Amino acid sequence: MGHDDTSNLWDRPRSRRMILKGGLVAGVGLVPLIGAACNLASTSTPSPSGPGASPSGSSGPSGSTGPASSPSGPPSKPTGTLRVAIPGQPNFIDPSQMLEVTDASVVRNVYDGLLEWNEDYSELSPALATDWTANQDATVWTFKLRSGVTFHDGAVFDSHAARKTVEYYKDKNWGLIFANLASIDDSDPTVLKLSFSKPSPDLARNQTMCKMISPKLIDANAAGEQAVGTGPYKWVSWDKNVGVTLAANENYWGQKPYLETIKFLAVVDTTSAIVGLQAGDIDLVLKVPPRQVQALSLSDKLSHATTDSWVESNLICTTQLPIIGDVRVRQAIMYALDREAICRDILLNQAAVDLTVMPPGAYGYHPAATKYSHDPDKARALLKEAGFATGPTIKMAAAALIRVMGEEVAQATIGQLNAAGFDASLDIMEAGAWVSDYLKSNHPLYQTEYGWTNGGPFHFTLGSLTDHPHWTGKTILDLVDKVRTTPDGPDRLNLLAQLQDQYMIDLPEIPMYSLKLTDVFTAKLKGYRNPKDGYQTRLGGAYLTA
Amino acid sequence: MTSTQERLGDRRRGPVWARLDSIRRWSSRAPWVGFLGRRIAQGLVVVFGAVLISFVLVQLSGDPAEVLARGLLPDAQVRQLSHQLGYDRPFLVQFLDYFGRLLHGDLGQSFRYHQSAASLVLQALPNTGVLVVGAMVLASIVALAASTFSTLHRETPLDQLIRRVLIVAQGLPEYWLGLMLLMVFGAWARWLPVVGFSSWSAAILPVVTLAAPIAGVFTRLLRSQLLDQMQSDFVVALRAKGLTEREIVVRHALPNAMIPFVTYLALQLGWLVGGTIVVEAVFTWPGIGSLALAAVKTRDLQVIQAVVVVVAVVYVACSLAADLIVAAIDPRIRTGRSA
Repeated sequence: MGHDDTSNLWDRPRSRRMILKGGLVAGVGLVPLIGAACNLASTSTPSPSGPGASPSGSSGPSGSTGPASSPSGPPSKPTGTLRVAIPGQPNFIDPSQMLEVTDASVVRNVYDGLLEWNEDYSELSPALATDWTANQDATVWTFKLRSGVTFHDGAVFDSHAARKTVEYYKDKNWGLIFANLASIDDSDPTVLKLSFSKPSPDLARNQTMCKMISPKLIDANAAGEQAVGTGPYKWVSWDKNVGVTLAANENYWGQKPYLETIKFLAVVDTTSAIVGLQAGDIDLVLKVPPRQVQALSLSDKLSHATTDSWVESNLICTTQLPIIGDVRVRQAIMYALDREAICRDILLNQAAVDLTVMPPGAYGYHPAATKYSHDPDKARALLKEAGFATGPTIKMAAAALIRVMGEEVAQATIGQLNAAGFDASLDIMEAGAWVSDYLKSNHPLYQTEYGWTNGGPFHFTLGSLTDHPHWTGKTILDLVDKVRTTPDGPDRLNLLAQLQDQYMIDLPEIPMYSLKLTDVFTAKLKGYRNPKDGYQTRLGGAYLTA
Repeated sequence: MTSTQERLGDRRRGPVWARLDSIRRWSSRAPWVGFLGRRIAQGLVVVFGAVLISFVLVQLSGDPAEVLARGLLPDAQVRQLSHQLGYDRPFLVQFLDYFGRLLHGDLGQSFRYHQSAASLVLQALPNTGVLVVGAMVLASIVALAASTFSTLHRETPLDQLIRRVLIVAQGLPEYWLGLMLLMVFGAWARWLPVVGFSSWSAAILPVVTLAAPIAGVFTRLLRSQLLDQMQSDFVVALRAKGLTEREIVVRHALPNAMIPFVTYLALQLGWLVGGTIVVEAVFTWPGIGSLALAAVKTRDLQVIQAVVVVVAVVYVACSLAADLIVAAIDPRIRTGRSA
């Protein structure tokens, strides 16, 4: 354009426009460099937590990491805002309806139950009930209630309020906690007596899931719109597209809360949540997948807590369908699977192979007498015995984006089945479509996960482990009926042992592994313990350092 | 004779035909009214179709109560939940009930939030608007600059580089681009917030993510129009008058090239309003995309339907705006007559 393109740049006449253009280009180019230099300067300053800060947590073979000590200790009054990423908005903040971690994380911090788990989930401890007893056949339960407790709205907690909650639960999702309830005695304000027409041996454990709701809230029929309990945190607001905000309840009857505010932010994408954690916009991310835990543990600004959990993964066998209805085929599946390799290579040792269908640590857990090792030859022999000269066709359905490394595990499962002589294939579908498909029993195998949320034989007494596979075998069904009606004690433990032994022979479901759950958080967060039930996030003892 | 009389022949017209004829005569005196009326009627058909299709599709995906229970609850509890939520009624009953309420402006109530679905969508819509308008403005600025530069410096190395960069940007998946921006500017550099709508600076990354793919499309469109304009006779005349290429492009060719571009912009705006789900999920942006995603996962039918209605209305409105702009500029379009 009027100048010689081959001439030396410095020899060309320089117009004001050229100089301005050059300056603009240089300026744009310098901005990232300046920014990087500022960032380097800020990251080179010592971490505020100093040398006494907790190291990145790591799990032992069993049990969880404890809260690390800090030289400063918890604050004397509630301080700071904790931002917790949950994988979506709550569906139900009504405790009688809550189903997911998105619900339970909020509920657990606003409400208390009559009982709760102790620090390491090894035994029940008092909460709104200071003592509890049952008669010999567990048909009458008596709870001595804590006095001097009020709900966040000023209503008094006593046996009348407790009765109102129990009655409120009846028609709701968790009404089954009070199945066969015959009468409630609240004549003494400090004692709640529940009588059942049939034994209710798990009632005490179930109180860790049942939360006491303010009678005023029940009367207003507003338990689905806000939360009013007795918990360490009070309900502030729910921005329906952002999340839930709680504030400290400084009149809490128990250990006073250390955080001024908690914000539960709905972050649907796990990667976004982790980036938010790294960027400092989020303080706590729940259930981080194993691969990302490894990457995050390299940062000194982050810590993690890992716990063995009561969450375990199974394959539901649709036993009324041909092929999978043959016990030899189900046993062949067990021998075909290399569950140790799955736990090691896919879940990066963040899971332990199931020796029975219940998770370790749950009441009644009994490693079954029948052991299944990875033995493809034995699998082929069983298939041949069952009459399959060539591989039987087996289709498995897995839900996308729901289970930790679920799709990868499902693909590995199919690969292992095919290597052992099956003709297996996989359908991955959206979670809702998975549920609809499962209810129609379209697939012989369904990958699923169970949370044994009451720390006991929950999915036996609920019927999941027999109903889901459409099991009709009399031995297991009779044992389940007996377990439902036998109080805790040696007899019940013996029945549970027999049940698990038989279950591992008949295999209505294929137990895979129990998960170790890891939550990752800012190194400033102390006193946090992740919940063994994988569900009810407890923030009562957590605090933020400067 | 009028066309109506021609169609009916010589017989006496009844009151209905007389009424129709009077409307026709009135609209012929005010062509805008007829044009607008036709477009609005077409828009209502589109909205109804969108509502019906989305209703059917969600119903086909199964009972929402079953989805919520995730197989955890016994059948009796699931049926109870289904009854509570009103999903145990026959499909036709549910649809007629819903449509009847829709005609009265009632978009239903979210079972999760116990709040009217319309209010949830209207609360989220401005947040989506921030992203959409921001992306459109950014993409338009890039397109204007790049297409003008390209027209003035055709086939120079810089022009080719810019066009190639925009083509690559057009092909980048939003999810990947968004995460890369998050990691670089959020986690690593910590220049910008990465979660939610905490401040106006939080809008920068999602706006860039949304704008990147469409900037290339806009640039190609506008460049093509500009190059066509530069072949016109009036440009030859302007050159003969002694105007510089820059003056011709910027002052004369560009305004003419903007007409189809603006039309496309309006249509793209409507499309983007319903197309921000991925970006909003990555950036945890509290817009209607996030709302819709959460509603689909939990089968919150009322909210799903409310989103569909609002997005369809916005799209129809944008489409109408595009038609009005073109019709305002070119009378041939609004009267339907040829030149």
